[in-house]
Amino acid sequence: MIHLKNVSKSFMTGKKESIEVLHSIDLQIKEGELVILRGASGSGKSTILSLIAALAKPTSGDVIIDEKNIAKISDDFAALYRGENIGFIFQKYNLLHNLSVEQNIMLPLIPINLPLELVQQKIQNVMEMFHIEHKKETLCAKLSGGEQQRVAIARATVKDPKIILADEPTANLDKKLSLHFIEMLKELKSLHKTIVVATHDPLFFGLDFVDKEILIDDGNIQI
Amino acid sequence: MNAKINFYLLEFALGALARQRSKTVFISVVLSLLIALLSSFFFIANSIKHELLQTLDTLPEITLQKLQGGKHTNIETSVIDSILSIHGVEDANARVWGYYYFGQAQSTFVLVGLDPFEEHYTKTMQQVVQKYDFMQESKQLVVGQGVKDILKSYYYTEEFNFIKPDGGIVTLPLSGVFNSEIELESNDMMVVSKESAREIFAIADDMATDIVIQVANPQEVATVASKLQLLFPDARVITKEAMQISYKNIIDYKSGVFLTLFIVSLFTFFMIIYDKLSGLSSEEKREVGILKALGWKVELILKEKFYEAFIISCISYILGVGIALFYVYILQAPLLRSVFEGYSKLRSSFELPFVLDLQTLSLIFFLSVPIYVAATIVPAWRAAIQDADEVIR
Amino acid sequence: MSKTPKKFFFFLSTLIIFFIGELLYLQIFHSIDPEAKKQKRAFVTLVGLPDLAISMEADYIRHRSLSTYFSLFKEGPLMREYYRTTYLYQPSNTYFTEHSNER
Repeated sequence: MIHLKNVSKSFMTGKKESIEVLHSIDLQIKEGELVILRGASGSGKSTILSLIAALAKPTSGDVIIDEKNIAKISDDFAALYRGENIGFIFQKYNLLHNLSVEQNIMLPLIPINLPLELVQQKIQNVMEMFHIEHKKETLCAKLSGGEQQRVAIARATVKDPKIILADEPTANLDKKLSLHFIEMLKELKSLHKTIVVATHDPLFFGLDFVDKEILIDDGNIQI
Repeated sequence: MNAKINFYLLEFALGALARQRSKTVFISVVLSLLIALLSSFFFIANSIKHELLQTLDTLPEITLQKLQGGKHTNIETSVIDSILSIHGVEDANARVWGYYYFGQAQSTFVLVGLDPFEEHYTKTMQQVVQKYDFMQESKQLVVGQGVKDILKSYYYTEEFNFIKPDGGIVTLPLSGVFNSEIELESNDMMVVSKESAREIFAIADDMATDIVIQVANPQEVATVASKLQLLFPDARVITKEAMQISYKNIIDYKSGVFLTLFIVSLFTFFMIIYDKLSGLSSEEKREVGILKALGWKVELILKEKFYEAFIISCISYILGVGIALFYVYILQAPLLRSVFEGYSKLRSSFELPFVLDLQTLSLIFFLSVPIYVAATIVPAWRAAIQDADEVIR
Repeated sequence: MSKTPKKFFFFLSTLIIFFIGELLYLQIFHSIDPEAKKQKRAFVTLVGLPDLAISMEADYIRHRSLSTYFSLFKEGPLMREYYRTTYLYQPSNTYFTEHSNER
């Protein structure tokens, strides 16, 4: 369902200099799989997630999602694609701190302009699922790390996306909260979502419910 | 494309404004004050123009003045016969009027000589003069409120002594004062009989200040005017239409103080806009990047920014115009009005009449709202087209 | 959903109501009185002089629509412009009309 075909990605570091982060990688992820992308910081794991989410375009190669190549789509189609298919849990959560929990979770729903009852129902469902409904009106700036994480996950799943991407989700959490996140991952897996987690946290390695672990080393996939 | 209004987006925009409360209030206040200042000037100008236009159609169709060496001089009354022979001319009358300088008060009065036996004279005077006494029509002096106040301060309460060019004196009894309703038109005026006016200005019986001409058919005014010009090459022919154009340009936005104020307002406005155009803050850019990452199209982000800007500018517009209306028509524009009034000792206490001019309101709207909206959307667009990935990392 | 839109709409409605109220009040109580208008028209018909007695510093300013361009300097060659008045009011446009021979 997700196929990165011969993908390379370079970033410009100066006017003429560039750095190649991914070197002709080939990666396939089936529908419903939970895949862990392992690797040190700067290995290119986050870049792979960005490419799958159409947040960035590959320098060369194809990114095929459900038989559609999203490597060269326009900005608008990329936004549409993300809105319909992707739930992204960012490394620093990227919540809007001056919005409440409910308002943050609602952000992905605004573009699609659903009837009010449906919107309220969806938000309520995810808040209950991730046990954050008691903090509904609280500003995200006032939440603890764990609570922010739950809001981020709720926001990522409110539209019931097919693919969930998580970039270093436990980077700022203690062990207890990290384990709690892993429990939530299990729940998401039970919903038959395709989940890709980029992490260098050893807690994620060797888990029985994970379908695949892929090691990324310096922009290359190590099998 | 979804045509219905996205109320969630509107709510988000309102929330964004509420979250940046102090910035929103500051911009609204500045914009409102700018709009209020500009509107005040427009309103005062409109009121004055409106006053002028009230009586425009009652003016003579054509006024004929004689020029000598390029300067205005008295005209012979004998030309009236030639004028009356022009086809289309209904009537022609010699006018005797001029400016009388009252040295003691350093004021110039407008002295108008009228024939008491002219049609409508008594009827009009009864209408416009307080307690008009028509018994002394041949030797009378009816003055405007401003003149009365000046004369009273120099102890002229019953009569006034005019000094003739030869040093002699003409004494006229004070017969009446014009009503306050016509203060704007009559404040510095003195109406006397034509005979008295000729005596005071030493204008001979066969001379006049100018000739006023009535034309039966308004369509023929231009033709009659050109005929008059041919008949009297040394004359200046002023038509009512020319005066109308003159009034439309009075207190023009191109002239003097208006232009200065306009430039100052625009300059301040563009300072705000320049500041906005220099880009969004890093926090705002991050917010735009996050929204893009969550599936918001560039179009939607710009729509949200449009809502924000439109709300602020519309509210500022309503507030600004409201303040200007209150300032000009209820407080009667203290300070600002003295710019229009000048500094003569005869200053009148006229009230600026309210005029609802949709053209002016639209002009002010289009000078403020679209510019501010554009200034907000341009930097938002610049941030929105950037790679979301770069912004949020 | 939140209280902000409700507060905003309440504020906007109040503002608009005040604005319309102000316009109505001014229209009813501060427009030109019809009786005053009648008197103005009667007076101007009688004397035939057009300009308003707003700026009266000098005769050039007073009846500017009937004045000639040179009148400004008639007072005295050293006289300056009658600021604020001439700075605000344009010189008479009748000076520039087709029917004037003062080109």
